[in-house]
Amino acid sequence: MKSGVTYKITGRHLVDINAAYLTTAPTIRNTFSNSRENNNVVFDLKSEKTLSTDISYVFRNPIITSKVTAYYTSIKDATEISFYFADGVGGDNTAFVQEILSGINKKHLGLEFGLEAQVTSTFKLKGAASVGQFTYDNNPNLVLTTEADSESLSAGFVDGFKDFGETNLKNYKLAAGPQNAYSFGFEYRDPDYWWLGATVNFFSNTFIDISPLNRSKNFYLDDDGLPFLDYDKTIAKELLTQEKFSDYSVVNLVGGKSLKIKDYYLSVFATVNNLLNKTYKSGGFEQGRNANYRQLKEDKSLDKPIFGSKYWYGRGTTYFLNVSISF
Amino acid sequence: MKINKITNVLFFVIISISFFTCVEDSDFTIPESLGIEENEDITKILDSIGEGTLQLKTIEQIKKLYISGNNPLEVTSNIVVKGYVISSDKSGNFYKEFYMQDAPENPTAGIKVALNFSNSYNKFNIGREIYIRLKGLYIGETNSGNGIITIGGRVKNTNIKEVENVTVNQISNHIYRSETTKEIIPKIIEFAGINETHIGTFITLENVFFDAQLSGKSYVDPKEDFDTQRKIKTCLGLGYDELLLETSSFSRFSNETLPEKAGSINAVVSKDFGGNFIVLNLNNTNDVDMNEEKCSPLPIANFTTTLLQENFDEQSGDIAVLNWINHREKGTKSWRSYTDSYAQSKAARVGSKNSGDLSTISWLITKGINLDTTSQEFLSFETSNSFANGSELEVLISTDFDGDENNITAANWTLLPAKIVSDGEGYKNWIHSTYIDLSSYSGTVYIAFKYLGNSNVNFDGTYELDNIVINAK
Repeated sequence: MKSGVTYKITGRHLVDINAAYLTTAPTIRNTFSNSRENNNVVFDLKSEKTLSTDISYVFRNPIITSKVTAYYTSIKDATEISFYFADGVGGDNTAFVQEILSGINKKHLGLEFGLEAQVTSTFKLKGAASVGQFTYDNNPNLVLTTEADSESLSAGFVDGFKDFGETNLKNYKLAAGPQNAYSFGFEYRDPDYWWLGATVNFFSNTFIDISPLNRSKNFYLDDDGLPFLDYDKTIAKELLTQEKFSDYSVVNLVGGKSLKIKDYYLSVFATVNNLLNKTYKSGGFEQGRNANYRQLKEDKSLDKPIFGSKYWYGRGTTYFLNVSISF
Repeated sequence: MKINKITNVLFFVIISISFFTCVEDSDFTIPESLGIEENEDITKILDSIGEGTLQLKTIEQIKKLYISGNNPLEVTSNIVVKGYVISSDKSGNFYKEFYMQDAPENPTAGIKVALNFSNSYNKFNIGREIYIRLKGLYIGETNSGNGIITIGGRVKNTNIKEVENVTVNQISNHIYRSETTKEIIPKIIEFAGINETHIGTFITLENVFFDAQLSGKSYVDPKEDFDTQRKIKTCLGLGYDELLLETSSFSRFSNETLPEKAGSINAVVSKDFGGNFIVLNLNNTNDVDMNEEKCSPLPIANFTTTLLQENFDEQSGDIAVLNWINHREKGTKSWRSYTDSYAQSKAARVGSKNSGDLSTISWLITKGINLDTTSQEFLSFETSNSFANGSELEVLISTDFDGDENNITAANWTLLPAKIVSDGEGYKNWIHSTYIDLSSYSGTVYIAFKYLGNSNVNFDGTYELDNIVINAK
């Protein structure tokens, strides 16, 4: 269900309001916990509900086009499934597990601003900013499933199934790329059929994808179901702090030229991404292997954690050249 | 104007939204125990006990299943023992072991559990209620004959008389902790009264101090590879009594300086590696509280009356001091005179070696001593031994004995807290009993030296006795 209203105050000032309510039926991927291994289904499966609203204000005049948008999106009852090898499930046991996270609520909230200024007929300045906050909005339920063998039995699985109850995800950030981004650039179009553009992009608030198992009761329980005695809340808080990646900026260049040679059109188009060859982490995830306080503490106290977080790095400088002839 | 209004409203909305919803990076809550966890295995054990499929035994009952020096006993019945942990390996003075006693307060027995599990204080912390399913485990000693009865996991490969630690794999199927942690209240023990029944319990000794010769030294002698024994003393009557505090060189407090003043000490009672002496083991030095002035013994010069003095120098053959009783309750061995070739002095001795008797109980009872004419009396004597393993010498007092040999067993005899030579002491050495205060007794009393043994090779030791004195004022 969607609806939108545009209100033109004058031709140059517009207010645009949109709202949408969507339900997404469960897919096969989040209905079966691991269809390749077993026939376990996710209990109490619900449709995912999305409520999305935004309000924009647009201002236009012959030189400047700008837009400010505020948006709010709320997702309810999402289900996520992942697989990994966990060390320290139900105390000091290991298992290859399927993790079913259900009833997840997420909140996306943000502001976007865009501006284009046609300074001269050949020169244009561009600026954009996006400030957002994407967070988990509740403590969803965590269930692990695994093979029903003796090892999983000793880790407290019943028929290969173990309910960990709520996992404390509320207020953790979603790993959805940089939550804040700013861009500033220009474009120059020469009457001689060549053009050149450059943008400087600045990104911040990129967060790692957290491991829900570490935020559940499994984190503080020993193998006999009683809490660890050496559980130190201060250390736990430190261990469970979501990693925030360093801010990074990237410079991109783009340019082109087109020529007419006899009856042919030759056009050359080139881009250089990450011109300054910056190394940056664009994302990553915590491994589920160190699934409890003791394991995680032990691993993190090493100089080089054995099962530390996995990262994705942005590409270095990349070049792209396109030459085309049309006839 | 309209535009301004709208932008103002927009601005206001945006700012207030960001105000109320902004999430700081540290706004998350860590998962935390609600304190309602239960150990399902404990529930099962308690259910089985209720149904009668498992039998709950006390530590005392478990210890009785095993006799020191024998081969380890494999438990084959469905029994479970409950205890409260009293030792901690946090400071390293205990290693791959813990002691547990039968109650958090006023324990009657304690036992050692040897296990292949370091940092066990993170699971089996002090005061933790523990249930051990014994079927498949062993009861024995980690060092044969040392008198520290231990729950182990199997028989040692290299010595069939000793037990090996409970393995990590066995722990999860045998040793369970409940959600309960009780405060362990150390039992106040009279210094001289400390004995083997206290092994594995947590006790307090008061008015103690480290031997003056240890001034400036640390808990562990840096020259020692393993354990260091430090003498602690207390005043007792006309002299001192002493005991050993044993500390591992791996303990974190090994380099701490011994306190020079007097006070109290809380410790686990155990024995040294060889099982020769009773020793105390500290969990940590917070249990040593010594800030008071040292005591001093009563001046012997004030005790001018001697109510009893016997050195057996006039004796030969069976002991027959005038008005004394030399009585065989069981067996064929009496107290006899002999000359100690090292001390060049005559003394009395008894032993059941080669007697062929099933059981030996031999009494040596003094003449009646009237305590009403004096206000304070101290008994003292000396003992020595020759291979005294397993046999016992007790010193008893009776106020209702009438001096008739036939009425010995009918009279009430109370154990006196005298220091008797320990099994591991060198055979040449004579051990002073300390001064045993008799001022709480009145009327005519009899002092008895009661020997218990038999011809079993483990119970046939010999005890020697000399220089019995009662000083009074």
